[in-house]
Amino acid sequence: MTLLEVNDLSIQYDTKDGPIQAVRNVSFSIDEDETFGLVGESGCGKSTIAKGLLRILPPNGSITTGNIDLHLPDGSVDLATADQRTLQRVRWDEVSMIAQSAMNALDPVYTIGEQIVEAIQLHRKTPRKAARERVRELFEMVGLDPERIDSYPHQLSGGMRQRAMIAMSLALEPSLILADEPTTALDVITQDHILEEINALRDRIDNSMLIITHDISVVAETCDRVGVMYAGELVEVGPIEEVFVEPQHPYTLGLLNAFPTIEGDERELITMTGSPPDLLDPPAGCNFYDRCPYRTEQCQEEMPPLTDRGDDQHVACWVSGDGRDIQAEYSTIMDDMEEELWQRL
Amino acid sequence: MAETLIEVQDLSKHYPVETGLLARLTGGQRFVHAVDGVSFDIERGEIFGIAGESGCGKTTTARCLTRLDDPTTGDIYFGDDQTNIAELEREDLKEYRRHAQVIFQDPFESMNDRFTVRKWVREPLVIHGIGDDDERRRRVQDALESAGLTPVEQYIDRYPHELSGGQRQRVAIARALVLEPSFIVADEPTSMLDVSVRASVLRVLKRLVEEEGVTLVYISHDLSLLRYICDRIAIMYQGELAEVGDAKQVLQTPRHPYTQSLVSAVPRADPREGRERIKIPGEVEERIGGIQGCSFKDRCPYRFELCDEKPPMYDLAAGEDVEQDVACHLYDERVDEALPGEDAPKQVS
Repeated sequence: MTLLEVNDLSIQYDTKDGPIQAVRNVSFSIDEDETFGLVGESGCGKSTIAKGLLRILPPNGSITTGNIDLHLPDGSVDLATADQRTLQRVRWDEVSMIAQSAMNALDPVYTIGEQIVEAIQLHRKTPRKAARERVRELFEMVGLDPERIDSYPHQLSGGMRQRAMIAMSLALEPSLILADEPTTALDVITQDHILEEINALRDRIDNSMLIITHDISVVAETCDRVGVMYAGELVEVGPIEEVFVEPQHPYTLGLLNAFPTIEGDERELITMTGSPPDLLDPPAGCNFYDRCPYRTEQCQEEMPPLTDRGDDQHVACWVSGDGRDIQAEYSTIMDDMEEELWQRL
Repeated sequence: MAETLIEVQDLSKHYPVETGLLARLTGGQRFVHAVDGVSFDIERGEIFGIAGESGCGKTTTARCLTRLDDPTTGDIYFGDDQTNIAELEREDLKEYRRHAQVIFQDPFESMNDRFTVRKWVREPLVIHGIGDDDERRRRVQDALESAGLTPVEQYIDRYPHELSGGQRQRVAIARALVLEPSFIVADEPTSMLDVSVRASVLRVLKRLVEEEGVTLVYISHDLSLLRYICDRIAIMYQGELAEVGDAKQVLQTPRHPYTQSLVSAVPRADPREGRERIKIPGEVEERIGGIQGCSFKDRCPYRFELCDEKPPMYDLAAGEDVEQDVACHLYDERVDEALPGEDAPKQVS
């Protein structure tokens, strides 16, 4: 069963230089009990999508096209057009969020227990004592000592604060949890504990998750499916075993080869020269044209649509769509010293 | 045998916790031991990595190496004439800073907004009174070329806001290079950059080492990245060295229980690869005052009697080409008697 269906979503920010097309015609869906990752570099629009889903865009941001349908047992809600009352009911109750910086997301003058109790009582008629009991349960569930219920945020370590955030996001048993860079601010070992916690929760609780990150390895270790974003568009979507092993979009391939690994054979890292297009004036053709060593004339003129390549993998690329094997051609491109679009380390 | 450029001996840096008058007068002042008795060598023309979690002392060590901070105790011998950097003052210190340069993490904060690239890169020459106008022009040109900002004319008159993050970081590298230093410390130089441009900065740094013979200290928490760029690596924990040696050796077969858990915690990008976690309880805590014995003992699964003594560096590769030194009593030759039936951690995977 599909829980969330994002269809043709576009979001723009109005600036003094004109509207920036931060997200353009993005479509994807998340099934019940599925963990979906959105991965991309800074400015690709991944966080804008998260803000759009919760309708917490800044005042100059607006959804210009598309639907965000959340399918609940008692009917569907289009989050793109829902009124404030509906949104208030849906937030936390059905869609909750784990923010990147728990220090900023938590209020420093209230204990963490107090903040979660408040969130519970706002949405459910629960006596205070029962709500506190629920918080203790949640702490236990995310590996946080229940005795910490009366601690202030600054009294907790970074890892403990992030666990408290996870507990808070689970408090009302939402159908969907959004996690925006949930481990980016953490050290390696703490990050690992949180990733393990997220994976354990996936097994125990039947809710869906949307994980937004720049870190491919975080997606590879937690998600079932992934969407790769570039300059406001989704360029490739599919199961991680397909997308990360047999990438069909040159940007995905480049990203995977720009990322060093801790084990396995040493391969050369590459740089994609140039930068993403100006979203004040997006190009008519493929967004990635300027940086793509596989490009053809068609790529400059026409924007490639996201097309089905089988095994649930969808790719927006004319080149691999024509049946060219970009992975097989990769070594030729790297050997060709004339080609300076991708450089190796 | 490689030649030693820098020899660090028993380096410590302690910061006061209370800086008030009362604490000083009553002698009740406490100190955070950010770096505590660290010794290692850096070889000429190598990339030496310093890794560890936040608060482990890696940045403080780097700041002492470049004398941005004054060491509390210890010696740092530099170059052929074995100058003790820890004791340099005034003119001598300024002279040292011509040879030793730093590249910081944040390319958005480390550059003056109102300077063009040309002015920013030339400034160190002005400060040190090096060269005439022609000489300075040539040096700025060369530095920008070495930093991969070519064609130079395209970048030289730009302001910071007209540059991308990767370009700014390369301007920072050019500014460090303009003094033609023999030693550069780079503190997380790519952690603010996107993956697709990160390799360009790494390439520039690597080329400097290979072609210009610069010695580079690279500080990062990213072990995967260090595996790619470093020749040798030091792993720090709580202000002390846990393990030092050949970078590939240390990261592929870590021997210190802390290094083992650190490496096992790195997420893998290939969904086909599983990994086994070597878990340790607790978290890094700020330490006030020194620690008796091994600094890792409270979290270590192998703790035994010897751990209450400070572990020396055990040379695991004695007589072999690949260097690996570990500060852990498990590698003491008496360890079999001390730990009957317990296997050394190399058995753990």
